[in-house]
Amino acid sequence: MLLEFEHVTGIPKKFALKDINFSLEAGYICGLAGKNGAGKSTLLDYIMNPRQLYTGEIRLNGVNIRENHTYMKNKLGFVSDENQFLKERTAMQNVELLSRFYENWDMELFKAAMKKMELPVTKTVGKMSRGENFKFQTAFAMAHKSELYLLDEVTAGMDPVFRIDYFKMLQEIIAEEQASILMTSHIQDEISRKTDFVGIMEQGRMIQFGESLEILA
Amino acid sequence: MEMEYKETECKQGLSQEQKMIRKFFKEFLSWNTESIGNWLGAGVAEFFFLLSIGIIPFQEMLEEIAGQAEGSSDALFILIFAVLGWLPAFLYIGPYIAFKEERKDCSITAKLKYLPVDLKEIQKMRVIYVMKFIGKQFLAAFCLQMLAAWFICHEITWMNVVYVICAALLWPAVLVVPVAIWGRRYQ
Repeated sequence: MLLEFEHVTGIPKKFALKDINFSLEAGYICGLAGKNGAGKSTLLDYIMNPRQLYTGEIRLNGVNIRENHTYMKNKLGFVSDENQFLKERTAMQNVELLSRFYENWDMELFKAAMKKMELPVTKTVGKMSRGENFKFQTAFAMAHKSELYLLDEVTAGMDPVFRIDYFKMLQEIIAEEQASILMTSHIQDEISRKTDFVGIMEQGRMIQFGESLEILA
Repeated sequence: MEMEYKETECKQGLSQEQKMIRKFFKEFLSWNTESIGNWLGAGVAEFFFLLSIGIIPFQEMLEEIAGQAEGSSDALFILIFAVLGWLPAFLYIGPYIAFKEERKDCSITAKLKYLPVDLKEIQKMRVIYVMKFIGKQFLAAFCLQMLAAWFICHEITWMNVVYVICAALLWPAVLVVPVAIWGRRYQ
């Protein structure tokens, strides 16, 4: 099992997850659906952010991520508005500065991914559109051989043509790298058609989890 | 086991991760500090600051330039230089100049928290490198001030040197506290 949440409950503060239980195998796309404030982005934050306090366990490939959260981030690819890169620098300059922290960085893979997405590596990050920024972040995540991609409202605001291309790319990533994708989205149509599994969130709880075709039929 | 490993790292000097972080900051800061404009601008701001607090022999400078005896225009000049000296010094010099990105919605810490790197080590290195940067600024300002004193007064007195060194020591004390508090915010 690639990702497992076992009785994960946040330490109460403004908003916390409540008894989240689900698991995801490698090679699948899982969507998290729910209204604004349901806890979708918070769930991703529990995986990425070592400062989140909770009881229960989150495991990646059977290993509790809290055992060595810093090392675990080598395997996590995060694509989000929150994942800021250095805006005054180009994509390549960002990569040259930041890639050193990754164990399995593949520069050729990064260049190939950027080329496939028709995004020049010399483009300044601050001048990229939202869609281009997400493409760059995705290429960055691919280049350090992520096993789990976390996409936070990435497709919101994307035009339909770009969305189709982006999902094609995600399918290729899953097929080639045996990775999995956990993504949040408001778009019900997208969740039902493009994902293999879906978790419905409400007020910090996961009220349903299962195959998309069954849950959203 | 973890304690033994850390002790071994201390004995061997910097760990691999620490070396990597140090190199990261050298490169990151070099983007912001190696611009000649930054150095000159910071040096000029320091010069005006030292001028404003009376370190530079202001009286002699006015007499030399304007050919006047002590006069009422001194107060106005002091005020102008005080404002010019303090404002750019606070705006330009200090931890924010070393992290230009912080002022433009992109916090280096916000970026680094998603990287597979120990945040505490990053914070520690960050403070060290900011202070090193400030030290370089002082050196630039000190040289500029000495040069100005020589040009204007045709001499560098021991008192000038003592005053400048005292001011140079005062600046870190003023800045270290907020930097340390600022750095601890992210720990």
